[in-house]
Amino acid sequence: MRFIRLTIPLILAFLFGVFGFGIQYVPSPWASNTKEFIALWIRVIGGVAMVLGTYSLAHLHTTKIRRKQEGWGYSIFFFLGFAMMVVTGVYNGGQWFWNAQVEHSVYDRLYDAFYVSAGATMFSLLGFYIASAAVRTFRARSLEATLLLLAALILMVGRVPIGKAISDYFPTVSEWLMQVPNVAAKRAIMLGVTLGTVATSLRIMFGLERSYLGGGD
Amino acid sequence: MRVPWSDPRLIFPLVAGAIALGLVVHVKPPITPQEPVVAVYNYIQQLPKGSVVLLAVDFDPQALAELRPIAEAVLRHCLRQELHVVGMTFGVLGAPLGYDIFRKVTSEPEFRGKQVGVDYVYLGFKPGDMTQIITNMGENLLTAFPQDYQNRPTATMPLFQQVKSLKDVKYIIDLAAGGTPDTWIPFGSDKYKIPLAVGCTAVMGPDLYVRLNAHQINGLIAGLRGAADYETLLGTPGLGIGGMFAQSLIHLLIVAFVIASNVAFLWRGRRRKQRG
Repeated sequence: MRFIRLTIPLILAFLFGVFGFGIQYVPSPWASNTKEFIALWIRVIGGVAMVLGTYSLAHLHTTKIRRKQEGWGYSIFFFLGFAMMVVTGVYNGGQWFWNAQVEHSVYDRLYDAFYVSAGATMFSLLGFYIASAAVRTFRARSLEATLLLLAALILMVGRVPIGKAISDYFPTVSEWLMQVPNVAAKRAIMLGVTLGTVATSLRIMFGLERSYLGGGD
Repeated sequence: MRVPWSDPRLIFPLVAGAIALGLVVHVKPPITPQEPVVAVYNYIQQLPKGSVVLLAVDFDPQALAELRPIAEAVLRHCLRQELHVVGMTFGVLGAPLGYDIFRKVTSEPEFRGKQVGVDYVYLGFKPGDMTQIITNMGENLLTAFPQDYQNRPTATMPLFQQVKSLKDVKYIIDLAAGGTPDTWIPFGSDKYKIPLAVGCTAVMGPDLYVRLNAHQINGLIAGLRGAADYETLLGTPGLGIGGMFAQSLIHLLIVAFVIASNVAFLWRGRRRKQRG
């Protein structure tokens, strides 16, 4: 039992790890064909996952409506929106879904009128929250906080055209802030994360990290 | 009276008012293009006529306000330079946006003579793992995209007699609202030695300066300001330049609020100290 539950998964993790890594560096037609084959299968698996995801989402909202949970009315809109997009997408302006998407079809109009507008609106709201958060966050409470505050003020003025009109120093200093302290901090974080990823991958491949197997041993 | 500087009930209406004012009043602030944007412009400018540029429209409607002006400006520049443009996307929800951008720009009077499949093509969305698709494109572009967005076979297009795989592409421009540049860099640019530029949302800009600094990308067009810079270089004002006065006003408003709230904060601290 231990062999099936532990040894085989560890051997598979090692073999597929080495295979996945090595295939990127083997310059042979076999390697590229295999990569294309894998890409195809990933798409197939992705399609299956999409069906599962849709089922899971529908189940969640059905339960919400059936139990009359808080905000259940919104779940009705999920089904309305879903049905509307599926039906119009499949119908595709009379050309059906296996043909190219028909321009100015109902599906096209729904996408423009609902999805594009709603998506752009949601992102635009960020502007308001960022303004409010900036005012609450940038407080000169300590030396570090004051430095952050100054950097933020210089960047906010220096990154817009009016900054240069006020003083040539604003764009120059803001560019320096982006090129030097920003890059230094980001690079340190990226190196840390990347080294951590490599280390974790090696630990998984060599069976030192086994938490993905579940259980204690 | 204590002024609630950080109260959203005060900030939100003022932000909305400043944006509305900035968009209604047509003031063009003087724009000096930033160096990373100039780098992209100069690189496209020096490409020989007929070179193939890959424009990856990797964004969805959430980033439309910032990335559409960049996409339009870059596409205009490429077509004006008589480069051949291959468009595609890794974002399923952004696929129609890419098509719309290509349709709009190519229908402008200046580009009426440009033909789909000859001067440009929009391939649309390809499902699957991005790494694998880029690798697939590096081996054979036609198997990766047997049809374009309008289901026309790519194999018969004159453009694809010239470009068989990513190796035939001279420049990649990724217009990203997410992590796509991190995959384009190792699997598209580094692997096939194709220069890469990135157009991105303003919040992604600081992250990508690391890539710029390491020469993993040769240029960066960040946010609406980046679009305005590009439009200035191109001499074709668009949504980027149009939004600059509003953006300047908003930034100044936030700066004023931050300063005012800090003055109030320090003043209160001082009063508290005095009271003991």
